[in-house]
Parts: sequence; C-alpha cells; structure tokens
Amino acid sequence: MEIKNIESLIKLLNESDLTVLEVQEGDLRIRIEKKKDVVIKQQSEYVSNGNMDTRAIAEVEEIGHKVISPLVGNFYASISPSEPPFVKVGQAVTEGQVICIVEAMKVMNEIVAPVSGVVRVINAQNGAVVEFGQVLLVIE
Amino acid sequence: MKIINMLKKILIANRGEIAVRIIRACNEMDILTVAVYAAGDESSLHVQLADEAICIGPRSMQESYLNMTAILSAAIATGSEAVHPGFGFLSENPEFAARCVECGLVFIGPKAQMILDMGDKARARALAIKAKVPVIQGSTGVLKSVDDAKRTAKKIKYPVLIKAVSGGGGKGMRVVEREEELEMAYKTAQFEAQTSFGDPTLYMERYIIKPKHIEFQILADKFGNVIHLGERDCSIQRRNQKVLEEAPSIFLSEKLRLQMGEAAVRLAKNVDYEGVGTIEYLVDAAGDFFFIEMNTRIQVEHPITEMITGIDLVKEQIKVADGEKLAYRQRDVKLSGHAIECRINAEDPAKQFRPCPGPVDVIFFPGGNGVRIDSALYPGCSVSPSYDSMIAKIIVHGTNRAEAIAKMKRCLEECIIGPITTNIDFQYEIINNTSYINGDFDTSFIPTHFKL
Repeated sequence: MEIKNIESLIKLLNESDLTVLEVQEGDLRIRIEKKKDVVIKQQSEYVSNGNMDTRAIAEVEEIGHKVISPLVGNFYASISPSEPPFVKVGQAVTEGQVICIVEAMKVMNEIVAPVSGVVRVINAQNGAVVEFGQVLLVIE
Repeated sequence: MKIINMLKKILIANRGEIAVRIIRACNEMDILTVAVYAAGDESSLHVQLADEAICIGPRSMQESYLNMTAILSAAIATGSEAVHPGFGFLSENPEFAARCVECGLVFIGPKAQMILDMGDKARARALAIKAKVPVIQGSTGVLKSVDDAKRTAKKIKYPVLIKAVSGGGGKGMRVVEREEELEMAYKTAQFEAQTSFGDPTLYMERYIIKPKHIEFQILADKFGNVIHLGERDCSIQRRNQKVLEEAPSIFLSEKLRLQMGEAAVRLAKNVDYEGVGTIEYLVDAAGDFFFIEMNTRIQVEHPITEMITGIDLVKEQIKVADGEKLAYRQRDVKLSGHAIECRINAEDPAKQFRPCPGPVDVIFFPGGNGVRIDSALYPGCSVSPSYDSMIAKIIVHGTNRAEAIAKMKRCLEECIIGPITTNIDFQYEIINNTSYINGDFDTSFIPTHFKL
C-alpha cells in the first residue's frame, strides 16, 4: 500500500465520526484508531550501486515493544548466510536472547530482546542498511 | 599518471548551510549525495535535498555528527565513494581523514598528515619558517615553563600573546602587557587549553596591536600544482569570530598581494598540500605581513572568493579529490569587482549575543543583481539549540566596493527572518559605519565602535 493511500485513509478517518478504520489488502492489514497514538513507520531499503529501490514497509499498530537499532549499519537476521535466522515471526523469545545483528565497520553488534514475548514483525531485510532509531523488530 | 575515479556518490558529513552547499555542487556535477543526520534533525534542509538520507545517531553531537564510526558505517553501507567533511565537525580531524582512507573512501580534503601538521599551531609556524614565509616573532617551538615564557617574552618584547598549540576559535589565548601578568596568564591559558582542546601546550608570539586579518585562498591538486585565488579581509570580528568578510582587501597594494600570494603558494607547495586551504595572515599598520595559521578545509567565507574569481571552490575540491589536474594556472585567476559577506546568526546582540533558537515562520531573502544567499532555512523550519547559531550568509558582488556596500545595505534592509531574533540590525550598523565605509578598520573595529 502506498504511503499516500495511508494518508488518505487517515484523512478519511479524521473527517468522519468513526473511531476505527481497518483495511485489508492482500497480506497487509492496516488498522487506524482515532483515540490511540497512530504509529506510522516508513522504512526505506538502501541498495548500493545507486539503485533507488525503495520499498515502504508500513507498520501501523501499537502492538508491542519496538526493538530499535542503536546504530547505523547493516542488518543481519542470522549469524552467517548459511545459518538459519535467529528468530522467525511468531517465535517466542526471552529477554536477553540475541535476535539479530547490526554490523558496522566489520564489528557485529548483537541485538538482544529487551523483553520476553513473541516476535510479531521483522521490519528489516537481511543485509539491508538500517539507520539509527529504525525499528528492527516488534515483540509482543 | 591521471587517476580519475569519477566519483559517483558522496556522503556529506555535515549539516546546515554548508551541507546544502556541497549537495548543490554535487547535484550540478551529477554526483549522488548522501546526507547524514542526528535524531531530531530529520526536517533539516540538507536531509531533504540529498538523494539519500540516513540517521546516524541520537541528538548529541558526539554520537552523531562527531561520531566517526557511525559516519564511516553510513558511508560504506550506502555505497558512497567519498566523504566531504565541510567545515567544523570532523573536517580537521586527522584521525577521521585517515580512517576514511583506511575504509577505501576518498576524503575530500588534504592528507591526514597535513591536517595533523597544520592543526598543531607551533608546528605550522615552524613549517612556515622553513618555507621562508614571514612569521610573527615568537617562541622557538613550545613554551616549557613559566620561566621559559618569561625569557621568551623578554626577548621578543611585550606585549606578547600566549596561544594554545591545539587551539582555535580564540580560546586558550591571553594577551600579556607586562612581566607581572605573565605567570597568571600562562596558567589560565594552559587551563583553558586543557579543557577546550585536551592539550595544555602553549607557544608565544609578539602581540600585534590593531592588525588586519587577511587570509589567502589556495587551491592545490595532487600533482603539485598550487595557485592562490586572492585574499579575504576578515578583520571585522567579535571575540575572534568573524562577522563580516570582504574580498579583495582594500588595504593591500598590488605588490603586497603578490608577495602574500606567492608566500601562501610557496608554503602549500612545500608541504605537498592537496585541496583547498587558507593561509591566515596578520598585517600590521606598516604593511608587514605575518603568517599565523593555515586552515585545511573549505571555509565559511569561501563564497566571496567565488564571486570575485568566478571559480566554484567546492567543485574544485571534488575535482581535486577525484584526481583531476587543476584547470587554472595562476595567470588565469583574475579578481573582478568586490564581494562582501554578512553572517546572519540567530542571536541577540542586545543580550550579549545570546543564541536565539526557535521557529522560523517568516523568511524573506533579498535578491537582485549580484546577490547570493547561502542558507539552510526555509519557511516553517526550526533553528535548533544544539548547533551553531549561523543560519544564513548574505553575499553580494558589485563592480567596486562602494557598489558592494550599497547592495549589502539594501539586502539587510530587505531581509526578514522571524520570529527568532537575529543579528541583521547589527550587521546593518556595521555596513553603515563611517569608519567601515572609509576602509578605516582592523580587528579592533567592533570593540571600538560598539558598546557591547
């Protein structure tokens, strides 16, 4: 769903008497509520060689604990390309468990789960550039 | 052998108007740009104008714009080939320059060793002496003790100036008029130098009363070609911070310009300089000139040199870094007309120039023939308290100094920035000051004419 469509939905909700608006499009489900904080995060993916392949991954629900990147670097879902990812969506994790890696300057920084719970969203692509403050995962 | 990398993507390790300046130059050269920003700075103009932007850290400068690892990581992650450091921040940090090269990135500036050499003021002074560039009488090397300082002062005669070797921005400096004051001045300068720069080492120079501050712009390629692009008169200063600059200097005769220019080129050649640089001189009332320091970066006031020479210094920086030979010989450089720059700061001159961050809802910039504005402001933006208070540069170019002054007057009258407080009216008073108009000024101009 394009960001401008989401903006139209918000406008629609604001201008109406409705308090909740839910839209499903394929696998993407968007729920906008008026009284709660609306959280819209747009993440861009950087592809080197100058290709501007920007995909918007919209995550619109205040559903849990957001794990944010403490630094700028490359996101890795597993310890190496041949190994399975640390976590999958739907997997239970315990506080302190390594859930992903952000690599900067050849230093692998292990990111640990700040809370116990279930991984609901993995918001970064393996190998993609993530910036400081970017949401990497959401744990509920 | 010509090594042209044909840089395709540059990361700008800076913010504000200089980042915007660099992005614009890159854009015109079809070079992709990457902006970096700290959390809270995402609505800044440089972020909006660049082809890509990446958040590198939290609000604190140490963890963002001064964070070498984060910047290098962002450069590599975005596939940038070069880093332009702008001015301030990491632009004169030799470790950063070296690390860029280690990471396979082109650092748009001189080599790390050069930055290190010129960053040490005593070492720079020694290099100038070696290149037969006149320096102010002073200590041979650094001061070893209070007694050493006393002996040196006796030799070079009071008044003397005690300066921090790692200094800048007017800190770690003390004027000493007589021997009785020396010990106290030495100790306080040392303390200030330690806290501001982490290095208490001092050196000493004769203090020149009411000097003019005149600096020469040099440009050097990687093949040993060095030229100068004339001078800038930066005597209008407040607490060693430049307020208004102009080019050329009405004080210099053609002969003096030639001598000072040649000396600047000679020094740059001697140290195998690469890129843009500025040789700063003090000129005394008798017209004798003395080297004080060299800045190894693009400077705030570079636009006035661009206006009188027609040469784009930021583009030249990039071309040199890219391995191109200089397209100009010294005889190709012609100084035409007169340019003035006023630094517009978000500050209140009536309240000791206290910084005035806040929203900028109304902006009207002047325009017209010979007017240039370098700024990162746009209506609805906000001036952050976290960064420098300089928010715009108004630059004018006229056929002669009188016309340039008339243009600047008009520009300051037209310019509106609000609701924050700025120094526009203060600049207006300077440009209308009789002594300024008559060219009768030196670095004591502001303290002399303004009760602040």
